[in-house]
Parts: sequence; structure tokens; C-alpha cells
Amino acid sequence: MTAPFSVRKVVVLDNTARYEAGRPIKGDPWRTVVVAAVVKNPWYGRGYVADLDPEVREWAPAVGRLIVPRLIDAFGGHENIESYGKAALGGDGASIEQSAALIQTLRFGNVLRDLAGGETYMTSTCKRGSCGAPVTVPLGHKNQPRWRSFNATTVVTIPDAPRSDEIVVAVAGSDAGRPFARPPGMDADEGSLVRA
Amino acid sequence: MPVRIRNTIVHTEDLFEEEDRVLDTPWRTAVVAAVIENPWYGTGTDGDLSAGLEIGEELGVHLAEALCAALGGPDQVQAYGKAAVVGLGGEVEHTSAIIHTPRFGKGARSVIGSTGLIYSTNSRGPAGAIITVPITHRDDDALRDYYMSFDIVPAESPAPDEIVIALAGATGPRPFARLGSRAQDKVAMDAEARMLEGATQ
Repeated sequence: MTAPFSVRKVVVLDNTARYEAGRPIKGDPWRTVVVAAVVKNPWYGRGYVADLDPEVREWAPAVGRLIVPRLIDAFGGHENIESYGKAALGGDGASIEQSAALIQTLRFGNVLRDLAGGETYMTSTCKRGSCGAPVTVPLGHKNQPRWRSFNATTVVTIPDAPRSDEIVVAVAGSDAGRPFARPPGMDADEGSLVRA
Repeated sequence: MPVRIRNTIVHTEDLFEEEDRVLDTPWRTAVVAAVIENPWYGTGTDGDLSAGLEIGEELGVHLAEALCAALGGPDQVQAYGKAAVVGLGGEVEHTSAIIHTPRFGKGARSVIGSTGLIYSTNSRGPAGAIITVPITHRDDDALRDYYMSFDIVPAESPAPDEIVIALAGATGPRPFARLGSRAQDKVAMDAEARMLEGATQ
């Protein structure tokens, strides 16, 4: 008997940078958005649960369908999202495996891939922490995993989450690579997308 | 002196449950923040801060527009507050020069259409400091149900030469607010006083 999907709140952090390290970004600003859901940990208080699958089947797509459309909406459509990533932060009553279970299966990942129009593996973090611990979401290009100029990291902090019986599940996206990116060995297609 | 906004941050929350009890309508709160270059960085304590008037008005308008957008329109901004945190290379006075002038509030109220004072905090801190914004009702700062505060944590701001200016708001009072009002307190306390008086006579 799986617990019904339960979410306490959804947090959106929308960041619009016009300068990087004090230097103005020409043209459009650089936008990065994180959408995070604070959900109940469906395995909380049950000790070691051998089979996580029943809850994964229900909860992973449910949380994906809750937060991914908000990410797409924030950018005005998937075509404006260049890079993406995901993260889970369990409260101190969660095992790493439980946090991983909510984001590391196709039942979650495909919601983001399909709605964002991406094809690649998704870069992620998965950890445990107290309320107010930073939720760190790595970003990578949604179709070109080797374009290192799109590897960036975004952070959201929710002062009252995750509680012991909660898990924060987050997705993030960005509309461009790092401003002034200049990793050695960048190819021409990739370089043409760098904002300078 | 034009203000140089390096970064705009919008932190929005939709709350569905409080203490496991589901809200009839999700409660939306938002903190919007502008990360600006501190125009007085390195100028010393004798520096002239009068440019804060113009900067304050410009930011009051800019942040109020962002707050209205985040909450769903000026009518949805039922409660609000402001905060400023200066980076470690600046003076707390620099925050005051921008938000503690009549012009910041005038700019924000002109967009929101409110009349109430905008309560505030102002402090100094490193990047990643928790910025706490005190909140009151948009028109009547005596309404206890609207006393609360919201946080934002900009991971990389303020840098030593930056100031973060924040405006926050909510679409309604605290969920399940039930602390009564000043008037109700007074009635109850007067009644208690009369009872005590009667008991000692």
C-alpha cells in the first residue's frame, strides 16, 4: 500500500544575470531557473525498505509532472531551454537511496527530457541535509553533453525544508552557457553560442 | 547616477499544506531582489549619499513590478516588506540611503496601489547570507494576521562591492491565522482586569 503523493510546497528561483564578475553581458541576460518541490518521504519511518519500486512508480512521475511544466513555463517554452539538470535533497530521516529513487529512474528523468526536448543523460546531485541546506543543481546541455561551456551550477536554499520526513526534488534549466565561457578545446558550433 | 543592476532574483513559493493540513487555496509568497553595484563602494564615511533618492525610486518601481508579476498582479500583493543587505566592503548606511527614503516606498506603492508603510530590515553580510524580509498588510499595518517574514538566500550575492535590495509579498495572511486582533486583546484584558478588581474588593 503506497502512501498517496503529498507535496507541501513548490519553490521557484528565477535568476536573471546582466553582469558576470562585474562585466556586462551583451545582449540578452543569462537566465537560470530552479523549480523545487518539497514532498513527503514516502518511506519515512519504515526502516530499511528493500523494494522501493511501488512508491517510485507513483511518486517519481507525480513530482516530475508537478515541477517540470513550471520550469518550461518560466522560459516560455522548451525551445528556450539549452541546459538542464536535477537534484534531490533528503531530510535527516531519508537514506540517500530514497532521495535517489525519486529522481534517478526514467519515470522521473523522462518527464524532464520529454518536456524539455532533451536527449542526454541528466547531470544530478543527490544528498542528505538539514533544513536550509543548499539544493545544488548541476546543469549540462540538453543535447550536446560534451559542450562544457554549458556546465554550470545553480543553487536554491529553502530555510524550512527539508524536514526529517521530507525530500526536496528539484529541476533546473538555463537559456545559455556560462557568460564569457572559454574552456580549452571548445568547438566552433559551441563557441558561436557563447555570450561575450 | 544610474543604478547598475547586475542580477535580478525572483524566489516564489506556493504552499499547499501547513502542519499537514491542506490549504483551501495555495498561498503564494515571493521575494524579488535586485543585486546592484554599490555606487558608494570605497568612498568612505564622508561620502555623499544623496544619489540614493533617485536610485531608491527606480528600484522601488522595478522591484514592485517584479513582485506584481510574481504574485499575479497588484491586487494579489496583499502584504509586503523590504530588506537590503550590503556586501562586506560597504556600510550599512548605504542600504539605508536606498530603502530608507520616502522615494523607495513611493515608487513601490505607485505600482502596487497600496497605502501602508513598508517595514524593513537592513544589514551587512557575505554572499549566501539569509535575507529576512518582515511583512505587514499593504494598507493597514495593525492587521496582526499579516505579520510574518520571508527569506531569500542569494548564493553568490552580495559580493563585497554589491548591495542586495529585496521586496517581498504574499497573496494573503498567514495560513490558519488565529491570534485575534489588538481590539480583541484589549476587550479580553479589560475584562480580566475588571474580574481581578472585583476579586480584590
